[in-house]
Amino acid sequence: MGRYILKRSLQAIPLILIVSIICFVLLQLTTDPLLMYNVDRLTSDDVVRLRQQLGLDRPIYVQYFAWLKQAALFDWGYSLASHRPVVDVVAERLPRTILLGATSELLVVLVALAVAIYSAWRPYSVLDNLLSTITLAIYSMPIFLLALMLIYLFAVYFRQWGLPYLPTGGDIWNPNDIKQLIRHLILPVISLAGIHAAAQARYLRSSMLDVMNSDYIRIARGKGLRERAVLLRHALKNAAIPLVTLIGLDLPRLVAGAVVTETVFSWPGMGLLFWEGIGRGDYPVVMAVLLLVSLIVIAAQLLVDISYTFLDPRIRYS
Amino acid sequence: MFDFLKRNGYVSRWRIVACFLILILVMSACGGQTTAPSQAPTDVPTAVPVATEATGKTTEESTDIPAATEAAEMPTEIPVSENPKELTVGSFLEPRVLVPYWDFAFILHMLTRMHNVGFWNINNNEELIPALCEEIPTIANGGLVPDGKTITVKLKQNILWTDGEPFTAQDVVFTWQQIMNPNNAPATTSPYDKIESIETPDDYTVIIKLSEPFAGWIKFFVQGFLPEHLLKDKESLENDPYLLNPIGTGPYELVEYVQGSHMTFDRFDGYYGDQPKIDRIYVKFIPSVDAVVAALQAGDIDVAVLLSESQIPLLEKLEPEINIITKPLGRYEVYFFNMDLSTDALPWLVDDANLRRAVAMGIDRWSIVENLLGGRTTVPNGPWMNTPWENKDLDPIPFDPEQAKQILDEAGWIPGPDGIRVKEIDGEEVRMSITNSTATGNSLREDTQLLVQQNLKDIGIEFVIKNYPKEVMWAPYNEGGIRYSGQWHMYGQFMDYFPDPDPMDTFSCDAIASAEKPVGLNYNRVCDPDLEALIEKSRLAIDPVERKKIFDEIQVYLSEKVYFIPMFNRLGVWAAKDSVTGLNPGWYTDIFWNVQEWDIAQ
Repeated sequence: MGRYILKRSLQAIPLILIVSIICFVLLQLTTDPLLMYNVDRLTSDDVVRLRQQLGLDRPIYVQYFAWLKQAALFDWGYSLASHRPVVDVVAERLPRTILLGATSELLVVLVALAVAIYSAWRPYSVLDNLLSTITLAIYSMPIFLLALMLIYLFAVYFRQWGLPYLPTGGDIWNPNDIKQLIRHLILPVISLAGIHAAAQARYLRSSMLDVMNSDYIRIARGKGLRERAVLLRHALKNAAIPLVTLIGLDLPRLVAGAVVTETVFSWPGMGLLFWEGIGRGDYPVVMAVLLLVSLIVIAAQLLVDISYTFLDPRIRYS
Repeated sequence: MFDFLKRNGYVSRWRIVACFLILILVMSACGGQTTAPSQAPTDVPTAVPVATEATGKTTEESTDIPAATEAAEMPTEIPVSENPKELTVGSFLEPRVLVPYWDFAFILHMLTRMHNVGFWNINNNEELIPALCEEIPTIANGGLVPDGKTITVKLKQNILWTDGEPFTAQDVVFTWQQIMNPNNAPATTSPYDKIESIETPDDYTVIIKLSEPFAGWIKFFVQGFLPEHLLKDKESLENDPYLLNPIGTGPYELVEYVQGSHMTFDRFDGYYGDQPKIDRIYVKFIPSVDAVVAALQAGDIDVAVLLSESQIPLLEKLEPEINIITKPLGRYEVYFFNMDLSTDALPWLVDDANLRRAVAMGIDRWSIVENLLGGRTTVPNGPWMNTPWENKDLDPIPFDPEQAKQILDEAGWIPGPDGIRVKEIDGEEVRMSITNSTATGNSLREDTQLLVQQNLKDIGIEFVIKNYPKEVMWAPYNEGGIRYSGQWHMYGQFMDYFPDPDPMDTFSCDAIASAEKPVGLNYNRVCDPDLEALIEKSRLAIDPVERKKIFDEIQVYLSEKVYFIPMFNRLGVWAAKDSVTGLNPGWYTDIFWNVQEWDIAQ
């Protein structure tokens, strides 16, 4: 196992290099840091001067190697837009994104498990059908719409009706105050979790139903096991393997952030940072985010593969 | 552990559902107040301004100047007020840096007004009013010299930086040097590159010597100054923390900036003018415009800025608790005719100003204003409507389809079988068909196109709508952008002349984007030596009265030539709780020019 992990880690190095080259070239071809100004208000002299001062007049490979040399020494440079060290900018956003992402992922797994277990226990019952309909409806909803609906219901109308309400996210609040933090986390977490939970619940439900029809479940029942033991110990463990893959695929999202949710709830996370960075051609920031996410993707895949060996003893790596 | 979910040993479905509901309710009730939102989330302001901390200068160091001591001690008295007045402004845009010369984004320009002021300010009637200067320079008071190369500004003597240091003429010189310093990368060095030298005979007199006469001198230092006493030892300001943590001489001081979240401004007691009425102003950045409106409706913010015309119907439903403030701006929507025959221009339209006039006469711009903009704005008579430079004697080209038809008939354009006019030019039958382009996704522009299409059909002109995604339409010249490369007959966008109306950038032949010079504001692609001569004359007219006369002439000339059709003035839209008073927006300065006069009715 140790050899396997080492091998996979070493394989990651050329992969990261290739990813960085592709990202760098694509960024250079599609955006221009000068676009962050109103280009037409720049004089021709300004354009020449700024390109030279920002180092954009150098050939692209020179720019790439200059960047790579810095990045290898863990110096991510300065943001072209805000003139702050990229490390500071990312360090400020990352905890917020992880908090939002991890909380919503937890909710996703809980809801998906609850729905799937119930559906397997009482397939095609009224509640199962109802849950299927609701998950399908949420799944097909644009997250933007869901988020705004939540804001209007819980933050705007609840307040107008004199009920306990939640903030819109557009207020001034202190993230160090745990009570305020929880109140501000609820709506973004629900809207972010809603769509993913709906998808995973549908996936897990069909996986559970498949398993429930297999021979070993019939044997387990034949042995006289209680339904709870059949469901949770025998069916769920086998049905959960695809869920682990799905969670593994979701891990990078915890770091990359969610642009739409962050935009609607004014949650300054990595998604917004990345989105703004692209629009501003702020390549030091964008490259940092991209590489961070690539690393997490690779690590998450490795983690998923390893976790298979625990869930399914038939899988072995050598 | 989860026994409470069980009934008779089995998990109860209803108990699970009930638990979720209770959880949501408990969480939403957690700290939920049905009265006012929590308004004191951040720590009480400390006596030492943040900017002072960042630059490593302590307040003790400034005690040798009596006036400064007073101001430096004052902040400790602020929290004494029992019920501090606080207000939150919501904006969907956020500045990238906070020092003006490093960017010219409008949001930066607006917010800078609160904490950093220039020589002069511009009020809601778009008039120049003194700020740090004693009076606006004129020829009469000796501030301007007829040769146009010298501007003398007398500074007020009681001005303090928010850290308590006095503001002097040396700070003006320092600001100019920093803009021109090759180690710094400000967005533009124009027009500061026209300054040859700045003389300071005493601490309160600034004499700006120019290399050439420059009528647009009001642009000088309109966005405030940089403090010499804090920054003089720095080789470069690039990537310096000061860019996000500046001080100023305005009515408020910036005490906190959390990127992606908000800015906090506290009243500056050492301000030279009338004392501000509100103690603390937050500017909250809410990246979604829809969420800005929701936050206003929920009461999380008090004032919403940078709203657009399309939000008015929604905002109207929130009256009277919410006040909608609208104002026709100097910014206007325009249809340009392509005047460049080396691109996709229509030769018959380029050749004949009368035909262009007929097109303008065929469009009912008043009905566009009435139907699409709720009658809240104006039809422009030229490029400078609603600015001090407007020629008030000039009327917009009227809506007169009969006369338009007559002009077209006389020019030999006869309606064909489908009603669209045709004419034989050089042995070829030409159809009177004009393509109009803009970027997709702007509903106001797309609705306007449909109305114009119907109007022009009525006088026998085919108006073909061919829109592009905005990434294609507005892309730079070297990326084949439709606008820059002239691949259009007529297109729509908005235009303004900000902060000075010098039209040279928009009408000189040199400002037409080309392969050699891929940027330029002459979107119209018009190259008219007579027009350029007139504009050149206006550039030398350093006296504003003289300059205005030439601008009047330019407007008459443009109205005769009809190189473009000004469609309607864009609306500035703001919304505020009805308890907020003193909001008087202007075009140049948004609502922040008189921030010290804002108040909250108790």
